[in-house]
Amino acid sequence: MNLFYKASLFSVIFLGACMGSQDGEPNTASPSVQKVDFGGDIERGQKLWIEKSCHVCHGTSIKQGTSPIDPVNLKDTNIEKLVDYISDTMPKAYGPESCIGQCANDTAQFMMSWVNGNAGSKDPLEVGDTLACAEQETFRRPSLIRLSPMEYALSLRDLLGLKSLPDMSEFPKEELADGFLYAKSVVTAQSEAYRNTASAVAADIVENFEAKTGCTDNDTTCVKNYYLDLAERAFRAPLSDALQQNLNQIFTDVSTENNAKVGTVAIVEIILQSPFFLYRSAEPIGMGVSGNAADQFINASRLSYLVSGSIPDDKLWADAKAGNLDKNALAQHANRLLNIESNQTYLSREFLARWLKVKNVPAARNDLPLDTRKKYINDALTFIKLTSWGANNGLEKLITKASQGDSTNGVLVDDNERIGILTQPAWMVNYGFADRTRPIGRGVFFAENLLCREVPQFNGDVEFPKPQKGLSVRDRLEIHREDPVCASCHALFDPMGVAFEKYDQFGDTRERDEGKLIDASGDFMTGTDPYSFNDARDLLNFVADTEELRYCAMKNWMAYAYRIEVPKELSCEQKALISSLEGSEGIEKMIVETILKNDFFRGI
Amino acid sequence: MKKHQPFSKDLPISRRVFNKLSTAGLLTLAFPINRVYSQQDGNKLKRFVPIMVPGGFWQETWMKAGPNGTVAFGEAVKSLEPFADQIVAISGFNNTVAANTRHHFRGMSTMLTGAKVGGDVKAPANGRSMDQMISDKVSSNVQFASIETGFRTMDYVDSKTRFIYSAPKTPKEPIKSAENLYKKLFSGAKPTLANNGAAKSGDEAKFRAKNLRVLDGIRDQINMMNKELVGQDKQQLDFHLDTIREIEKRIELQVNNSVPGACEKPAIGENYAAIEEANILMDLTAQSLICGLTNVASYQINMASARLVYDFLPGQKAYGTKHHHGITHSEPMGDANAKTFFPQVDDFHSTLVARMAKALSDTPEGNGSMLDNTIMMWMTPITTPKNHSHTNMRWMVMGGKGSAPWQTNRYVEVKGEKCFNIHVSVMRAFGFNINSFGDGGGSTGPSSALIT
Repeated sequence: MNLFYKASLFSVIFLGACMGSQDGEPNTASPSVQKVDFGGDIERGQKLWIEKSCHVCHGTSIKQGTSPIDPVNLKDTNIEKLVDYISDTMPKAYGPESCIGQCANDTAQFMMSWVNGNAGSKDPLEVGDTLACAEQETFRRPSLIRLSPMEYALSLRDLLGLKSLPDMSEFPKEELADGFLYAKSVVTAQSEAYRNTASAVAADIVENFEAKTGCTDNDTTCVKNYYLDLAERAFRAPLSDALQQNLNQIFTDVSTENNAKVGTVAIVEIILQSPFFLYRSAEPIGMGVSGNAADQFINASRLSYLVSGSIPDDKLWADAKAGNLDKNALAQHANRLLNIESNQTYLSREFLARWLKVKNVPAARNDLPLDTRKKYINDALTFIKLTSWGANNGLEKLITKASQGDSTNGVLVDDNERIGILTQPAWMVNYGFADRTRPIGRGVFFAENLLCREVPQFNGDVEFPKPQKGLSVRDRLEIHREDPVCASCHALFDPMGVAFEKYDQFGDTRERDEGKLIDASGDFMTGTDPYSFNDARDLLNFVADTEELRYCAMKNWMAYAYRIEVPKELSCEQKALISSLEGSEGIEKMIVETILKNDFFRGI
Repeated sequence: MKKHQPFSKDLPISRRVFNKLSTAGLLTLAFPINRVYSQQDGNKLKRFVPIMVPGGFWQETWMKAGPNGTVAFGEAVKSLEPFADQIVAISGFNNTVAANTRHHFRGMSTMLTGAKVGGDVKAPANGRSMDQMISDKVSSNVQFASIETGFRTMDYVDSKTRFIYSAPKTPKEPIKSAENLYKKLFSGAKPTLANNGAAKSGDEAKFRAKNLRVLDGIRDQINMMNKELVGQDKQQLDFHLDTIREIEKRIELQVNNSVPGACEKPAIGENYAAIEEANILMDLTAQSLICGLTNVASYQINMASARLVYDFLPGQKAYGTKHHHGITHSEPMGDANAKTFFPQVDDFHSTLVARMAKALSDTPEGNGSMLDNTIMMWMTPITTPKNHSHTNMRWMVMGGKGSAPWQTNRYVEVKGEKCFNIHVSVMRAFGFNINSFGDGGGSTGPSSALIT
């Protein structure tokens, strides 16, 4: 038995304890299978090292962790034996044969690179190159996006001139937990809700027929013009002749058997349940327009939904119909729409508040009265609006502007302790437990959400130092990090979380924790030189002017636009646009410039 | 003396009488449940009922191997003993797709989908759940492709709050209100015109018939659109169109009265105590099957990492208002409190499972009972409250006696077999010609526990 094997055997035994041995049952490892050609990849191996939780026991390099890999053992073995060993026994946490074939090859290559001095090898937990970009786009562009519940409600309101948003209480919840994701497809309950909403809207048209349609029910020509225009606006493209004929035929059939009002009901219900209304698509398929002319309508719809969450307004629609929507006109419309307050509210809530996790207060904080939670969210929204839009505002202001204002605008009165949206109570409450702060959650948010850094996911049975009299949160985190395995992850985000310790779980400022003056200082890892900060304000001021933040904002903008998970990297062409986020009006400029890139948002 | 008012116009009994019936498990006896409206008789499996409970099973008081490989029932699952001849208890399998981190999220998200978890562990599963696939096979002539019921489930959506997926990343929301579930099952779908008052101005019946298939008039254009789509986008639209067809079919069945309009409707009350609420939800779910409204019905308790305070169980007292998940993480798992509390939780859960089993078992079908033609799966996303892991897990498969191609009344230790082998076996029993389920190598073939 060689030395490496002995060390590994120890690792197996240790892993059994570390990950929770399963009711004391013996390891049921079975013979290895799927040995391949040993053509492993170091970079993939690095990722697998974290994904498979190898680092939990073996650290992230030689002689690390509680079950260290000895370099002597690695030198004594070879890649073939290592692949065999991993295939047969590792990782214990996932069960036998869960890392075989390519996985075992990649992991083995990564391990061997520690002793071979391969330049491609690096600590998988170190802050990676968060500014990396790819030659080609790395995410899939959908060619079909269903209107979100908010887009559906706004579109219905604007299409039919409703005084308020339609009742959406019947719709099942489909906004997924994180980011900008929604349920991918509809469930039956949702189709029922679409159907019933269409029915209710149609009923309203019948009840107020002349006022709504501008027609008497015996003026068939007028009624036809009404519903064809409605269909065109709802479908956001001119109707094909075939489609017009189909609608007219249905109207005629139903009207003949009933009357024009019922015929109108039938058409309205079809329009509002049609995929052409409920989905935005890359091309206006099935409509009466193609080629360059189609671009006019695609661009109008794309701009309108990105900025306002609704169908194109009259001005934008008129330019699209007239074929006047060239780049200059599109830019003018973008700037015009961005100056409309309701659109600023929409983007603040649907893009920025979602990115920064201040759109809702989670149910876990129901220790706070509903009114308080609502106020915090409204305050956060107001803060975003006041700092993100208009002259001299932008991303940097959003992150660093001192809180100002009074009770009339809803923003917290400046207490000289807060700068930027992340010091507002909404964020503190979202990242706080009912009885204590959540520095790890805050730190992970900072690294993962604000800066788009990769944070390893691990939620095993880790013993965290329990609250104890006289032990501050900072103290407890430091104790936790004394274990090098724990430190290997926590060093990536703990300091950023501790920076916010001067704000408690209710959003109030505080000076002491467990009787001790709070020390919120720390080192922020960036490139090779850490930035030493005194507290959150200091940290936020530093981060607000970094490319890393701007790049993360751009990635989130893409995720918002395409309803995808935040991409790990963008194409270099897309990344180039992050310069637009610098300085004043940064967010608006980013939006306009990305919209003007002809192929940028193709497919939505 | 105050007269007890009927609390449902559909059923002339008082709430007090109804509640008594319900509490005593006699709800189904109050209605002519021998009127069975299944599509076809015979021994073929017709129904599927997955039941998810949170937090793992307490090993010591669960099921064990009895004499000759039969099932022996621990104190926490005694309520299932009357159904021993319908049960296969399976232990010792590993969910390698979930893997051993973020146990609650991954365990729940993979439970019925077998779908590999992506970068965002909280994101709903990227796969369709097996109940929905089975529904495709067994739901051709019922009003609802499936019914999802939840006892105190969460409103927010993520991978640990949902386990039924109509499509990848499209979780189905369980109905947690007895009133809403009742309405869904028994109020009937509404042809749109019937809702809006416009019918007054015309011949409703004629229009209703035409309006059954609302998108038929523009079907050509929709087909053109669909033809241009590929992959996930096409699937997304297909699923949507399927749901529209499902509603239309339901209306058609109602209009044509080809489904049992005479099926008796239970009645519901308000403000239930917890156990009563769980029971009535289970009864309604059972009625959805018994009345032939659906052939696939799931029942979910809270969520994977239960935020539920079991304050209706005496053992909760020792933990105050701490919820189940909090208890498993911060309290001793080997002391007397735990040994009292966790078996009580299992008992509560297994009694609910037995309630469904009894309702189906009491309903004649063919030469046997409805349970003989139904497969129930009682599942939990992690191994035990002590071990938040995905190895050496245990679940129960129930029903299908004589219809499913395996022997029942068995306790089988499968010793490290892959979790989704169970799914392969169950899917095959429903006629799917598959050798693997889900992705990520989570299955190697049929389960050795579910053999002939």
